[in-house]
Amino acid sequence: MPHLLSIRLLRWTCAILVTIGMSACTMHTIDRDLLAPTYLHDLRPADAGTIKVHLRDGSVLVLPTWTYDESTDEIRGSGEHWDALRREKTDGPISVSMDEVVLIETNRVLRSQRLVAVAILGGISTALTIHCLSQPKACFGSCPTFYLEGDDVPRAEGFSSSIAPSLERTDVDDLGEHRITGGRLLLTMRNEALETHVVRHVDLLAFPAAERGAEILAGTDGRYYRAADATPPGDCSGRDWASESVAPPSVQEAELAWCRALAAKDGDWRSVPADSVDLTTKEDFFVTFDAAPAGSLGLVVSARQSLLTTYVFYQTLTWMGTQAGTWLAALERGDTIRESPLGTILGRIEIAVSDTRGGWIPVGTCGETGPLATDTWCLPLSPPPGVVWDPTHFRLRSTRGLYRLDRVALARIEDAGSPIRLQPTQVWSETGADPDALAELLDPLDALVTVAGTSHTLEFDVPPELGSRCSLFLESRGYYLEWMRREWEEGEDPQKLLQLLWQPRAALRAMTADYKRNEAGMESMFWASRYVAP
Amino acid sequence: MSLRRLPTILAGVILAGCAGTNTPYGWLPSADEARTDVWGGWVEVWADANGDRLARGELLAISMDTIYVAETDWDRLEPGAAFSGQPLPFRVRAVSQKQAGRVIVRGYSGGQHTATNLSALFTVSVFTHGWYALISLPVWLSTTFVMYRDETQGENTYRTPKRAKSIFDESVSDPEAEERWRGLRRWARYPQGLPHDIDRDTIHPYLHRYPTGFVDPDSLDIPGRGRDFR
Repeated sequence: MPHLLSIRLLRWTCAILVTIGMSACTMHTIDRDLLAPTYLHDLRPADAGTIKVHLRDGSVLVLPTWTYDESTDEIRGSGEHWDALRREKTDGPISVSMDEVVLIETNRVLRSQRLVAVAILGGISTALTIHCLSQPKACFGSCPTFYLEGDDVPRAEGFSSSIAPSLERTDVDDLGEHRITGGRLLLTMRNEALETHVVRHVDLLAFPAAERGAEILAGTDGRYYRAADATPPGDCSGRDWASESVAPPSVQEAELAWCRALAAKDGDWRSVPADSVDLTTKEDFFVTFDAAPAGSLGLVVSARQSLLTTYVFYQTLTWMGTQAGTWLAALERGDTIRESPLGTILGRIEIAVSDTRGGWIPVGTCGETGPLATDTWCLPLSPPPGVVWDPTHFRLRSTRGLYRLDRVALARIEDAGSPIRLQPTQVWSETGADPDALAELLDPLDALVTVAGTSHTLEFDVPPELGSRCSLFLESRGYYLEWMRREWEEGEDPQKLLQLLWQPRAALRAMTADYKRNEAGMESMFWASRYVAP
Repeated sequence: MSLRRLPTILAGVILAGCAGTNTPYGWLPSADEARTDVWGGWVEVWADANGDRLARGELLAISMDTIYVAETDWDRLEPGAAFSGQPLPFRVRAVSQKQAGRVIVRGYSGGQHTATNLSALFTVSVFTHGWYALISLPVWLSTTFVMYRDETQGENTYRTPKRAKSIFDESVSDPEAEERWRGLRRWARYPQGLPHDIDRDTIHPYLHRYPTGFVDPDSLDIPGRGRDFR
């Protein structure tokens, strides 16, 4: 399940909660009272515990054990006697006449209820922090976010890379399998970011659910595949050890952890930091499967981007500064910005298969812009005529630190045919039924425009042939406009912007040091920035 | 509320966590140690008129109208003496209740101050909560506010009553403030009051050999406390 916390995060959450809980339980408060000597007979040693007896001369007795002798009007006990200047006089059996006593001090050590309350609240808060940082979409949203009935976290986000009208795109996201009740399905679309969304249409592409052990996946060629017998990798490595010596033990351990992370789409990532010198540096990652399933093969890859592209995007907007409108207008006219090879330089995940002779045969690419959603692609594998390859040994090449790999698997695939397209039949906004919004979503020449904080629930009628359980894909089309932040306007720098447009590699290299300085804490900084000011 | 004010509000919350007293590190006993501790709590006294700090150090005693504080005499401190292991010059300062606008006492470490600091820390963490911050931010702001108010205005504090005192008008007296003033005695070294026959010049404050921040744990020879350092 993509929305579950990974085991690692769960362990961290538990560790933090236990630490906070234990800390709270070990913190105490004191209930201290001063009593006149006449009240001593009301005190029971068992209840009062250690008492301090303050005498007329300023000295004090500290008595962990004591008794009051009414016949002689004396306190007797065993403890310490400190003089007025707080020099210890005696330590042992003590008796003192009540005539010398001016005050009795009692101290009850209690567990701090306030601290316990703060600790409990803090535990919940920490768990929420970890959850939000591991599932940013669940807490922050971006672009249009989509929720199926009963979802606490969004299943998909639409057209992440469409940051201007001219970049309007159709985006397909895997929603997974869903149970249908009552022949209808509700999908909630929210605008949870400081953005304006222009949504051309929102349709569902549905298949009857695959049998147990199989899944329906979107292929990188635009088709849909039924994938079965998915095999997790048996060996993962940052170097092609097959053509070199054996990896050292420490490296083997790390590689084993990568393999475990890639076994399932569960939020347990394989990721590495960006290069320290040049953000455009590529890295190779090698994946080997123990055996290939029989039949047509497909490589299944689940991944999402790091904040590298977001950083570059925000940095670009910052350098545009107060002239952002002018530059975006230039983008609409179809000139420099769109032609910039920035996206190509950072690139997608390039996949190659071993040719069994130490060489590599490129078979395709996958990837999608956006740091929030984990998407899954199925890359169909068919060797070119006359080429011999080893379909168990793959090389994944990508910009170092750009992608977080969640799952890699080798599966037997077959064509799943065409999906059934479902269009919304009803739309509700916060104020009730919204026929205008429905009309805007159904009219290809019109679009539904939403602003931050709005929500629309779309109802779809599900035909009986899809059965009670179906595999769903969300097809959304549109674009969004990022709201400029005040702090971005202060960083306007046309020279750097021009370098980014005309010498993108040099600009990215120059950006490296700043990115690396912020890389570790970028997740929290990024999300915080969305709430500081529009 | 405008989102632009959020940083200002959060900065206030953070400062709230740092507010209260500036107790030297390791000076206070734990709650458990305070049961048998024979020294006074840490006190800071600010003037009513201009807010200047009048005294800070160990709370010795509180009489009907005066608070006695044993503090390091920084004016008599010779350069380099702080590092030589020589006893620090100290003095017993008496501040009248009329001068004291605000008094805060801390008797032991942890407790309310820790709760306030933790609350402030968690308030800052709501930045990571996304839309859930709509719920968690008010919860933590109010929690921190309550904790801060209790720490700075709770039972271990005293503030001058807002209305001016007049010996001709008993109606302006503030029984609650007077009760708090007397209540501070609980954390004094001499809750019964300063002994009559004691020579004030011989009363050294707790931890009088080293200034704040230069505590050598192994060379402490002050009895009665010090377990914090070992």
